[in-house]
Amino acid sequence: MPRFEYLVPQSISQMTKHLAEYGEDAKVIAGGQSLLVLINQGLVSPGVLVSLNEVAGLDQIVHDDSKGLEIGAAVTQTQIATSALIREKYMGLAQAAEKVGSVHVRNLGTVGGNVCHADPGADSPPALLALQASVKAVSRRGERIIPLDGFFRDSLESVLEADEMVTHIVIPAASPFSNSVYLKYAARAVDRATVGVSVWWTWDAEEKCRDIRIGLTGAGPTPLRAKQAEALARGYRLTNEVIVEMGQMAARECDPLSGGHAPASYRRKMVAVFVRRALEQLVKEMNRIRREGNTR
Amino acid sequence: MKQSLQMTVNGQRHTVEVEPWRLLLDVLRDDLGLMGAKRGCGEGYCGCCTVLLDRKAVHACCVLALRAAGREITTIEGLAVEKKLDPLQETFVARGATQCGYCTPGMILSAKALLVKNPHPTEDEVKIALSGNLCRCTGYAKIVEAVLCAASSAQERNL
Amino acid sequence: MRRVKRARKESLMASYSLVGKPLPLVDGVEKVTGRSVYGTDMSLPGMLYGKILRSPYAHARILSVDASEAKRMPGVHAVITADDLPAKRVGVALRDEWVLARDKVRFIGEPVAAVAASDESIAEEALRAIRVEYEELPAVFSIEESLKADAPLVHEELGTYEPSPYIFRFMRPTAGTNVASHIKIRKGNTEKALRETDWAFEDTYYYSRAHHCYMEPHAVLAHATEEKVLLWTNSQRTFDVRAYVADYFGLAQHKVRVMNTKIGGGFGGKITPKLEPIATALSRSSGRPVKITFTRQEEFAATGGQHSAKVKIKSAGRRDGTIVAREMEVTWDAGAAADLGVSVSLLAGAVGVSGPYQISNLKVDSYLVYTNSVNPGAFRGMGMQQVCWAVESQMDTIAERLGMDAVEFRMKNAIVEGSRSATGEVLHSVNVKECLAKVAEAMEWDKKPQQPNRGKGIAIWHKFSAPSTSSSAVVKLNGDGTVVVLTGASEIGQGSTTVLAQIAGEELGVRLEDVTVVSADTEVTPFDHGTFSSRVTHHAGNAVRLAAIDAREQLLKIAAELLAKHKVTGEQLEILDGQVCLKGNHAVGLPLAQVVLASESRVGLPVIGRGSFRGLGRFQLDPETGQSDVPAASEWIYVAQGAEVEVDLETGKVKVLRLVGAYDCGKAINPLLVHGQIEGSLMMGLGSTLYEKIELDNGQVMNPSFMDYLIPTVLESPPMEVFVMEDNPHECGPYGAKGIGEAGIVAVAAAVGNAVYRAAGVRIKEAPLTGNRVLEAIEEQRGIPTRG
Repeated sequence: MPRFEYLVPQSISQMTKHLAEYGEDAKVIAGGQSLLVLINQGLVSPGVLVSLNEVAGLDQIVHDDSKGLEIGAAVTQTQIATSALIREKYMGLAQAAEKVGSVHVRNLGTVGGNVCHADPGADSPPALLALQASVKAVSRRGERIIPLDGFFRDSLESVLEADEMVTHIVIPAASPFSNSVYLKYAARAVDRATVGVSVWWTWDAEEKCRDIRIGLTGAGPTPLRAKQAEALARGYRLTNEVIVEMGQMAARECDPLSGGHAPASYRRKMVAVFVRRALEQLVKEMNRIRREGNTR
Repeated sequence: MKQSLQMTVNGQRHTVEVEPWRLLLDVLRDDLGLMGAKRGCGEGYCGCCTVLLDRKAVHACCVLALRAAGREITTIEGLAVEKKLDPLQETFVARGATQCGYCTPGMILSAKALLVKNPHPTEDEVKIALSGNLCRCTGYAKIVEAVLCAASSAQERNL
Repeated sequence: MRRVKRARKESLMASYSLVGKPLPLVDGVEKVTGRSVYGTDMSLPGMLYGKILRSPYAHARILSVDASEAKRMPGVHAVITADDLPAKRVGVALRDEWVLARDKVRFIGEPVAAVAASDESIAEEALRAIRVEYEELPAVFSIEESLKADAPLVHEELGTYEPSPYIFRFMRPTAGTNVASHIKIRKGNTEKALRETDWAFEDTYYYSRAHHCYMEPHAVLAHATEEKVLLWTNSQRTFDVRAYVADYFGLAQHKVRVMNTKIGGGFGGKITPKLEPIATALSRSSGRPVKITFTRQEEFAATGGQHSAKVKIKSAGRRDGTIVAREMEVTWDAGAAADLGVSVSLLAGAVGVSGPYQISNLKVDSYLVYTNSVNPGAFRGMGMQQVCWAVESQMDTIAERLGMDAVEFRMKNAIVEGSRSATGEVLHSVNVKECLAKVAEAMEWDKKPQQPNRGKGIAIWHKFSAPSTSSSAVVKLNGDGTVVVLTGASEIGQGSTTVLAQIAGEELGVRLEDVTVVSADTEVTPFDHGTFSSRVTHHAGNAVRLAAIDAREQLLKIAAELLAKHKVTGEQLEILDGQVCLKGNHAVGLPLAQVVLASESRVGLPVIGRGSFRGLGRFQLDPETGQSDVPAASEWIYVAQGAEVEVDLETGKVKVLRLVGAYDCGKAINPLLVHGQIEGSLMMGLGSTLYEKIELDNGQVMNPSFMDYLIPTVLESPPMEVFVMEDNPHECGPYGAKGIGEAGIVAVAAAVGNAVYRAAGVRIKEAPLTGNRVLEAIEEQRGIPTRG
């Protein structure tokens, strides 16, 4: 294992002070499930690791009916997957969390880490994109809210500056008559997604799509929104024809990488299949909710 | 460069001096002589290094030792209570769920973490709990059987 | 052999106290409490850590090696290069390797230098300080490239290489080419037969390179002094390691002691002594114990696995479904060293290549071909998975074209008692049809699955232990009536220790817990060829059984003397539950412990039971025809494998709903362990069927990690129904036992491939059956352009 210093600040301001001091030579570590592997493989060599784990207040899930959800960057995937609140109101996010790696990875891996690592096959980002999440990024210079749609610059690269850290992920309040889902397709259940699709939507009294967002992973150098596919849905009922067309549009507008079992052409086909399947599931869920009332 | 690390391992308090880059797996093995946790890949996939950190199953090869400061670690050596085997240890032997044994400590600990939280798991829940533990010898069938058997025998014993 | 057969005949009539019982491992508690000491756990005071510098080029001349800076580094105690070692080639079959590369490197990952240092990070730093200058040479990366007339040669001096005396000498290298071995079978007259048949089908199949993925990496601890070299290793074949190391360094064998540590899986991957000579050299050079442990990346990138194979098969026959002729050309990618690819290309590539079928006209060419990549070697199944994939896939194709049921077609052509093998061996103890019938019934073969996209597939195959290997054993008694068994076979997790203890305990009338088995210490345990080829129960089991019987006979004679007042002979006595007593009147007798104590001090002599056994078969194939008057294999094992799958037609993903198989092991000495071997080997076979492939790009392993080399997790394991067939005991096996370690892996790929055909209507000819591959086949069939 290469050498580094390990600092354990107790507050955000201590943390940002370290990041300002060490700049590019420092990396924030939370769960470490991605970072330690990269360091061990020699792919990154930070001189300093700054731990998130004892900074007060970053491991909470806070919800307010009007303000929405605020998830501390150090909240683990296990916490998210097992949160009754998130399962009730933001199901897609819970489904993404429970599919990250194995249980061991989920016990330590954080949603903040999953986002900041910017892996093109990560599970949380598409669900968060679909939920229109933003991150709160803090540095000595101040605080900014960065919408997740625009947070990913390239494969394993985000727009965060070297002295910035993500403290929270914020998600708008859940609307009534809305739902979300995350479907993951991978060679084995524990693998990074070949493709992952998350869809969030709301519907009106005529079952027409009021609004919709589709997040994809494994479909490009970064997680992305399938905006052209979304545009086909707004204001329309999600019939089979529409759903099929949306899948094909999403497949056209994405730009998958090739890797391992899955050449880019295959991933593209899978985007079409799983966007369609995610939409089918949501429509089925909507019908069930309308039949049975809003019980989940 | 070394920092003082205090942690509780198998119920005993330990203080060791460790460099910040050292991994929990290596400190347990090399500094504390607890050899049950194994290195199979060093990358967080095979699970042979599984230990319990505050009762949660983790891959010790992907945890910095200093992360365990003030925490409770359980290794396979800490599972048997006063020389009496845990039901999982018993069923793993009785059911043929261990062959070469290299994955066994990690496998048992992952199962233990599950049963502590969920004493009556379904077969699917058992499999999810063990998804981070690879085995090349057994084909997994007897491992899943052994965990389910331990769960029901613990129920019978009112554990 | 006669003693063995007589002993077995007697025992068949008996009922057993230990044999045939599903007993847990004798070392199970040690494993579940984490107290086993594996190779990776070993340490000695003053131990240094060894690391190996490996070639970054697939084919290059070594112009210079400058280790001076590394040698000067504090904490570095030894640095060695080829110049520090004997200039002798090594190799387990053909001597085509160097311990450290000399003059040329032939694959990415080839060892070029090694260091021993006081800790691993210093050792790694020292490696980085060694400067090697290379001149790249043109390389060959595929069988096709290698076989071209003007291909660069991986081994220009192939014609001068010697065979190793320690494994066997059946090699047919073609000098001036990249063909390391070419084995031929010419049985009957296929040319003539092909002119007289009603149908002929020709297909080509591919199977990808895979890796064993034992959970414990290679680890060796070497301690060399002036008097002795001590090696603690997780090798499956300690006597070979001793011979190899002694021969290499010019040492007498009694000056080299090789001992097994606990082994965390082997599957054939811990046979070739890749570390032991280097660790020995580092220890000799530094004067300290040296331990080398491979990283997982080194396992994938620098140790061999399963050979990839291209199998061309042409089968021809009569209208009624009888196969009359078969022509096969099998080409194996050997990487840069022949290693046990020699066995693979001979045993699976020729002796067993045409399957458990009666085929009177057979033409086979099996080529082991060099390429510039890390060399595969022994791997569970020894090539059978790859050839079965081709043959059994084609069998289904032929059956369909002939309008015959797949099971019926196989039944028509399968071997029976007395049939001749591909090499002309008369086969006995054949029950492949019974296995097939069992699986067909259990799977309800005639009932088609109701759900769409589901299908059932079936395959039959065979495995055998390599011919002419031997085992020997010693049984000793302790003064308290407990027993010690000395066996040279390695316990690699398969449970040999337990099975051998059961056998000894059975013959000596003691409990399982009264027996200790000492395995694989070349100084202490008698010779054994080691653990591979499903041989241990049959070979070491026989040796232990004979040794236990020998000890028993001595004990009973002594006991008869002690019971002189009853005027009994040894033959009238037996041992039950630790008591030596009169058959038919158990009241007359004495504790076994008393007999042993007496043998130590006053009656008779200390008891040493000994037994030796060599399996059937000889490597005596005619070089032109591949035919032999004597058996070419030791104990044939038959397998019928069924699979039911569901294919997602939109993703191509294959979900295995269940595996159902019948496995002919002769006699299950321990049914719990037999099931364990079958289930484990099924999952291993399923791995390379659906997920596993070593990805090579210009000789570079691109997926050297569990992240990118996908072995099945528990979530990928399907329900497995296992029928252990004991209706066909082997006449030479202990209690009729054959072997079982590899039976589960050989036919699962073919069964799944056949099931996929029925489920999705596509015939996939290259494994693994990834989603992408299956989907492309589905789209091609539907006329859909496959590149989107």
